[in-house]
Amino acid sequence: MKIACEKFVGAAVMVALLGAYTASAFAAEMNHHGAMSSDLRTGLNSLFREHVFLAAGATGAALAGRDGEFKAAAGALDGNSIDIAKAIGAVYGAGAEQAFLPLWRKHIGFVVDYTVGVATKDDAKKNKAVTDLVQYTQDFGAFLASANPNLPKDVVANLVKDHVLTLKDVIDAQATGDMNKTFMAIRSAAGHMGMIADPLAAAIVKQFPERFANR
Amino acid sequence: MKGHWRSAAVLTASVLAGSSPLHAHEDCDDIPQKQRAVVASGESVGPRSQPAAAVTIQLCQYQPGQLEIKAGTTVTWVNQDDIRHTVTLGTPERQENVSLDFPAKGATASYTFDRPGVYEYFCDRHPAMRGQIHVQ
Repeated sequence: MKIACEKFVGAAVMVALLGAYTASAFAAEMNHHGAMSSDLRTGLNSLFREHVFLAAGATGAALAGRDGEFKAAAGALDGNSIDIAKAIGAVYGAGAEQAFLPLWRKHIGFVVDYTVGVATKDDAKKNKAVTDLVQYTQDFGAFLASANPNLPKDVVANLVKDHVLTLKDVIDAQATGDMNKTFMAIRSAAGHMGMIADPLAAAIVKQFPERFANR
Repeated sequence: MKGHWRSAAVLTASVLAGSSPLHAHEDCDDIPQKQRAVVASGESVGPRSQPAAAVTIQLCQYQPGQLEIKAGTTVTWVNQDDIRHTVTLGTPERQENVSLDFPAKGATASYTFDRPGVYEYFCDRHPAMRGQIHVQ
């Protein structure tokens, strides 16, 4: 168990380090005209997958009562949130960046609520968090639909709902202490983020073809 | 009546209970019951004020976020997001008793600011959304 936990921590730290470079480079890249559409797609994929790894690091630490690790993971996760908001801002402007960040952070707060509910075996808290998260998917879908006509609200909402459910699977697996199940769930949740990043990148390229070279 | 509501399309004016240091509180409370009913029906209320100003609600932002107007100006908000928003006077920490509801995309609602002052507002579903009206 101890070894498994250490491996998990190590993996989270490595992903955080790799992700930090990728995210910063991505935000800078998107500010240049003529950025490659492939850069956009891979950049968004990196940011969103990093989000899952760091979130899993935070929830795993929280459930195990490792406060210091939880705070570190939560801090890194918020850094990832800021990078994602910057990426949105690089495409849609500073106002959109400022509006996006609290919206994005909101769902992390609901995930924390769910984790606390799991840790304390409080079904009411868990159910409320799930309800809040499902409602949140509508807000997120509406935001992106407003930003980009190529992103229907309901489609985005359903994709984000799947993200929420796959992350919920991670937390539920972590609570059981089954590391095989946990890491499989993390892989699944991270893999799903491509289902959000790819169509988002494609929609942005379609919306601003002049800003992204067709590669 | 120091100010008045006017609706277009789908306007629901929510008047909450409580005291308020802002004139807007008095404005709303001063609306006679009969006029409130007219507001709910979507017809105009009271004398039409000039000039007018518009604020778009899009991407979870009030655009423009800050607006300078003269007293007597009617401000109309239009929701371009496909999600419910509100224009609620005050701040999340100190909410006033005036709230306009925009249940869906395309919803509009108006409010006339008859008294000078600085009016802060926010969305009660998305508290990070903030706007400000400077009435001269």
